[in-house]
Amino acid sequence: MSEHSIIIDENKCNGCTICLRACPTQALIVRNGKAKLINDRCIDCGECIRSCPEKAIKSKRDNIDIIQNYKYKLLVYSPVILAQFKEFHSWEKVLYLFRHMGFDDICGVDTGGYIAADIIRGFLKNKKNSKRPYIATNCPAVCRLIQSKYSGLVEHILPMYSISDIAGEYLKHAFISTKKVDPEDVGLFYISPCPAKLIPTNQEKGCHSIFDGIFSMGDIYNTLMKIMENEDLQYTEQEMVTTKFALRWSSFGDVEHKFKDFTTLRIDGIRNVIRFLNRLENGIVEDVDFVDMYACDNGCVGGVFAKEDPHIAEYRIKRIADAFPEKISKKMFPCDVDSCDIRMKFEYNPKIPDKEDMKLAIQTLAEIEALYEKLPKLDCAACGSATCYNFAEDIVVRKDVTMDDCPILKKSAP
Amino acid sequence: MKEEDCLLKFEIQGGEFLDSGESSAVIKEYLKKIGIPHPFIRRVLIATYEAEMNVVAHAEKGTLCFTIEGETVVVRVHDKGPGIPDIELAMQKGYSTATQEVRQMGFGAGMGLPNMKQNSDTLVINTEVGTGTEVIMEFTL
Ligand SMILES: Nc1ncnc2c1ncn2[C@@H]1O[C@H](COP(=O)(O)OP(=O)(O)O)[C@@H](O)[C@H]1O
Ligand code: SF4
Ligand code: SF4
Ligand SMILES: [Mg+2]
Repeated sequence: MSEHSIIIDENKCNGCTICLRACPTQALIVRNGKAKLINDRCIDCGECIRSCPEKAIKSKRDNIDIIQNYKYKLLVYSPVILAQFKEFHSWEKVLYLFRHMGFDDICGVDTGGYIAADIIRGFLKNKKNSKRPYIATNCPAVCRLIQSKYSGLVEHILPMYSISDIAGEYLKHAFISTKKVDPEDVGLFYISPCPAKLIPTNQEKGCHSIFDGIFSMGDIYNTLMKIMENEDLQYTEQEMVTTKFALRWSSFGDVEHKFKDFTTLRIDGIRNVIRFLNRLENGIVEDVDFVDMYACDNGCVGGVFAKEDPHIAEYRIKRIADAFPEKISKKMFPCDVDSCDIRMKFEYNPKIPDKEDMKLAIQTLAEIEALYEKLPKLDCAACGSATCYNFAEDIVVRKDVTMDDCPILKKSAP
Repeated sequence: MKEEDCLLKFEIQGGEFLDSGESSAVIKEYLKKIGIPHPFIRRVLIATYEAEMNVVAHAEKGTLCFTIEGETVVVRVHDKGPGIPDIELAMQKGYSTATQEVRQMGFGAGMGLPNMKQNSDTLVINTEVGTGTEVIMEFTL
């Protein structure tokens, strides 16, 4: 069973079913008046967290104190955090505060984007790589959606780590090599804009997170605000080694710039992602090389843990990025760790059903359809299943409800 | 195959290019739900889409019937239309009688029947000029 970041607080949940309708994969049900997660359907997109009026749905996250368990502390931050402050022009302050919190070295996810762009370009240039369009792995919610619901499209996933993982491995590798320290003493941490990134992307393969701790951007935002208010600090100058493109790509998914000689698309918002995957599965997407998809509106600036409006955040990142060059002039430490390579494989091993399996599956489906035809098709979710179709499925497969649980049918019964 | 044996049935309207392709999308969902692996689904999809499009492009109207017999998926499309005078010629790659307008919409590359042949295990075409055409495709898991 896969691990998830979603936690439902039964004391706060009043069973209103709003989250059921917000969830794009029908991974929630309400039973006995409380919402429950169906593990193998959840993709950790966090839509349920956004939707819950009672704030009963939360995401796991680590406590910042765990950094004290390590002698050396390294931090990868999503540049989205730089856009959460009104005074976004003083992003140096934020970087300074990370150091002040105890981190020995830091870098943004944009560093990963900078490294990845050339590797991906090389991969796309090679005509032998023919499973086009290739799908970027930057949003784990998208990767999980493909693995669970569009398994036939798994071979389209770019066989590469996400840019946050690349940034992390790079930072750690560079730190250990230059400081000549024992890797055991180094803790690597990440500030995530979303629940999706709180757990490893490719769980099917038993992939473990490269991070020793992952914090919610919201928590860190609060911590930073507190420090700013309560402490009289002497800020020192901070350096950010990055490019215009890397900052834009890693925060609102502006992928096109570096890939102008290919056909690339950026698709944002989980419903748009689903529509595109359906088209791709139906075989009606042609001549596209690379697709960068994000579960959140406007990419990671729209992450669940981001406080600022995604379009304002985009504006701010653009203005910050304006000051940076197209290319990094400084000589960078070489990235020769695993993740800086086209190496990760998402696996697809379908099991071919035999005659009997198929017969059974056809029967089950017929039962579901027959029940569905009897339902009011209002998708009101009052029964505790997300849609009338899900309710029919639950009667037949999950067997935890019966027709009697439909309040509409009950009411109209003589 | 009798009409009532269809697991899924669709009406196809000639000339309806915009609304077309619905049957293959629904069939895809069906096959996914009963656990059929994607490479197989893709074969069925490609061939079904082409068969449906041939009714849209060349005939007046038709019906598409999808069913499963044991381990074999059967797709049968029959239409009311002009029929195919020379099947062997029609089967040739690139052969098409599609009008200029249809080609401009991106259809009529003359690859439909060859793709149906390539992606199915058996393809049977019964046709009568002036009356219509029946296409039966079988796909074995
Ligand atoms: N259902 C049909 N009714 C009448 N003619 C057809 C039908 N299907 C195919 N044909 C004929 O066979 C030709 C080749 O078909 P196909 O290989 O699908 O190419 P295309 O549809 O691109 O023309 C068509 O141009 C048409 O003349
Ligand atoms: S995280 Fe997303 S997929 Fe999981 S239950 Fe919430 S809305 Fe559904
Ligand atoms: S778009 Fe970005 S912030 Fe949103 S779920 Fe995906 S990775 Fe997380
Ligand atoms: Mg055709």
